[in-house]
Amino acid sequence: MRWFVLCFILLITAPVSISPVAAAPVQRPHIEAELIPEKTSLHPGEPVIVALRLQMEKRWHTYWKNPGDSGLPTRITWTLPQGFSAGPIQWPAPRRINVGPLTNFGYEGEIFLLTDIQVPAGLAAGTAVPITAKADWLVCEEICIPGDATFSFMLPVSNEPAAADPKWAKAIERTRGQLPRPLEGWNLDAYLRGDDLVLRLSSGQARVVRIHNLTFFPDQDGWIENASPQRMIRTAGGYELRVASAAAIRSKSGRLTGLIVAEPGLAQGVAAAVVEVPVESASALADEILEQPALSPFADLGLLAALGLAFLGGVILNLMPCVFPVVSIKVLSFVEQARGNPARLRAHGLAFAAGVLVSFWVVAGILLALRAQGAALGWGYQLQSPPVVAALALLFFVLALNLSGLFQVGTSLQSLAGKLRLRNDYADSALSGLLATLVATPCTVPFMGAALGFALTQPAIVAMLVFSALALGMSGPYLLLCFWPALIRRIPRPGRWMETLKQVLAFPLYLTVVWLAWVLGRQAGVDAVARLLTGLTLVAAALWMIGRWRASTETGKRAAMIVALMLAVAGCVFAWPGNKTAEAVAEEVSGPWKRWSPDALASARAEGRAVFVDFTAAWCVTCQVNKRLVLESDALQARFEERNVVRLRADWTNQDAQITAALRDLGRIGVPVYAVYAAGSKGAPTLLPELLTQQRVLRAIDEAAPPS
Amino acid sequence: MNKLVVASLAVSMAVLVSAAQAAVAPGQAAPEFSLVDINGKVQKLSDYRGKYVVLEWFNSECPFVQKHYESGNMQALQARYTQKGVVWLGINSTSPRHSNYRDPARSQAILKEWKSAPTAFVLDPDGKVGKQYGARTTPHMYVIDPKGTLVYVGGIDDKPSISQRDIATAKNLVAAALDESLSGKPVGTPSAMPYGCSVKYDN
Repeated sequence: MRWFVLCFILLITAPVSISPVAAAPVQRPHIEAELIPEKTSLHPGEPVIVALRLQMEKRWHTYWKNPGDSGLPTRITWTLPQGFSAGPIQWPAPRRINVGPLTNFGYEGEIFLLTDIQVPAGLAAGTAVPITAKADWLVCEEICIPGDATFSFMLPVSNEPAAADPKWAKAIERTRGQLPRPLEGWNLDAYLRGDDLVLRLSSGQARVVRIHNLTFFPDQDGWIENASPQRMIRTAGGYELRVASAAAIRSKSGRLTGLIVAEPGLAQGVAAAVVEVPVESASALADEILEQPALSPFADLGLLAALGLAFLGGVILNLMPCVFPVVSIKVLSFVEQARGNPARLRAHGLAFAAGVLVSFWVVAGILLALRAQGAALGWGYQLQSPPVVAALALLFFVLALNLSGLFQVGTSLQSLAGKLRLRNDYADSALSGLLATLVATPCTVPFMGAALGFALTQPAIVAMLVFSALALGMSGPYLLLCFWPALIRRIPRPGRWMETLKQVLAFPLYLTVVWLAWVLGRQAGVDAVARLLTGLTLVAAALWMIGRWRASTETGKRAAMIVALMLAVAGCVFAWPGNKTAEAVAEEVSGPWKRWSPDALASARAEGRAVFVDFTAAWCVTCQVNKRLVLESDALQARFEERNVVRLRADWTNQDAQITAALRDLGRIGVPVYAVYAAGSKGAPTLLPELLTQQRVLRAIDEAAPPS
Repeated sequence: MNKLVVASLAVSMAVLVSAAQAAVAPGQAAPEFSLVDINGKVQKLSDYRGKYVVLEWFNSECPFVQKHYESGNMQALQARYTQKGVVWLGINSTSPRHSNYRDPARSQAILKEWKSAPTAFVLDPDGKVGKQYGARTTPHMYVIDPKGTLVYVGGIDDKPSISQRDIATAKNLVAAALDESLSGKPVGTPSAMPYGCSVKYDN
């Protein structure tokens, strides 16, 4: 019998001389196809991998084994000599490809579809074996074009070790390395919760691998709504992926099979895993976590978009009332010093930018380090500490007095920075950068929430990039000024106008102090404010003395300085609020606004009512502006009443782990955040922009609670 | 108590609304629609209550639709079942902004050329009805019973392919659903994966 098989093989292979090994690539509309054996010869009894290489034109795609909403998987039909057999296509992990409101699962660019061919043992060396395959595919962009090609080649049989295909072996090897593997190191369970199919991925390890994006691809149609966005939520022991289930899912039986694809990966070098789980309709589980808000709409925000937004946010930061007076005066002063000397000017500009950059890195670094240790902190955490608020009030007050002309310190704050002063005054420019970062902290601007929210859900390196973009945006306008001296010529020479400008710009700073005092009041009560004001007065007296007796005789000056120093120290000690916060005062909840809590939200939604949540903080200027001008307006209040909308306020003035967690689930790390939950819906809330307008909120109310 | 009633009403309303927006499944009520056909006549689904109705999503430029028309498969189905009193509605949800859009006059010409004879052929240029039914592909087939309940949703047959040769060996699931329903039996395969080109919706 064996002889017979051998003779048969010899019979069909003998007449063929050893000729080209790979079939030449064929060109078809919008696609190039080629069939490539991994090795240039066959070894009896050893399987060989044959790859179908498909190179799609830009924007064109072919399909995975489950093509999603439309399309057709690529197919290969093999014609092989007796004794040979071909396995199934080993599909690489696909991508989601959106076509209008529909979503397909497939591939773009270049892919290799691998098939294992079993080779019989009894082959004679020196012969050649014909391999023939017909590939059928559907290649689509907006429209679809079916295509096919038949490939044939002869593979010589040899007992020598086979050589790898010189051109494609590496790519084939890479494809094989990236093929989905069985899930390891994680437990997966799946259940139905409401209309969602929930996949719960729990880590077997103590340290949960950091994943920032998960996608599920079912092997079969009918389990999920292919086009619905998939939402990943971080849980205590891992991740949860919520996928809208298909209308027909209840009639499904058997286990759910498919692929889980993770970015950056499920484990070292493993991005895609094969999963197979029974689907439970666990209603008990459902009630337990039914009302958790879903993840960020910014999870989809790409890195470039986030960097762009951060940069823009940085530029806008310059215009905030707490930043503009300080930074513009500082920069004007070094611009003035370096007028007519472009090289020095550029160096000053760079030193300033470096100062901003480094101090942003420090702030971000601290934030990331604390979060890595599990602290529930978000952006703005700096202002959740009363001593920081008091210190900032003191700083702004001193700066304002300086601008008002009460005292002169060299040309600027150089004496404060005296020890840090280098031989030249570039350090002063760098310190101005630090100062700029410091004074910018209280100001949350539009765009920044989104960019920073994105940043903190990303690996540290990405987070640092986003903060860097913010810093560059902030120093951008000044760098432009320093590198484009033509602009400087438009600035008039200093003179009396500069003095007047300084004095005028002092007033926004005084207002900033008032606001910081008010924040402190919300945090630590009226006593703390009184102490702060006393402290400020003492410091003002000290500075006045310095200014008054600066030019007096040696002894008089010395005495004045000693008294001034004592006054200043006393002022600082007095102003120090300590770290305890007054719980009752922070609550900014009155009238129709109820205090936010996960329970309050859950029970309002369980009643089927629409809910508007205002995530706010006393130290957040944007929040206060929105609140006074928009949210508390009569028109809106009337509409809220009319539509029976529950209004909840989450006050983040002081640290609050629950609020921080809720913000994180919304993909944000700072306030303001306005979340609108539609009446009767179990889904994720709509998030409103950070700068509210009455029209926008009215529209949101109409959407969430349509008129009955 | 009152509150509870209101709340549960609100919840069920919301469920109904969201169900109407998402795809539909067998056993559910077929959403009502009213569309103008290529002869200018208004076609309402509820006008055909009491009869079996087949909805066929169509796009003449799609190779999968061409497979079933150039082979004569679809026309044969239309003829066989309209003779038995079944209402056959062709629906085209292609956006007027897409190159595949064919206006009523051109649609008439295409139907004539293909000798297609549905009961009526309607256009759904804003894609509202298509999205309401969750129509994903052309063709995508729906069978509705005389009470207005969906009894079949899915592909035309069980062999997703582009090749006309496969028609002979495939099981036609629309024919099976209609035959079973017309003889009073439950539908054996009430849903299957639709296959074809994506519906060219307006974005």
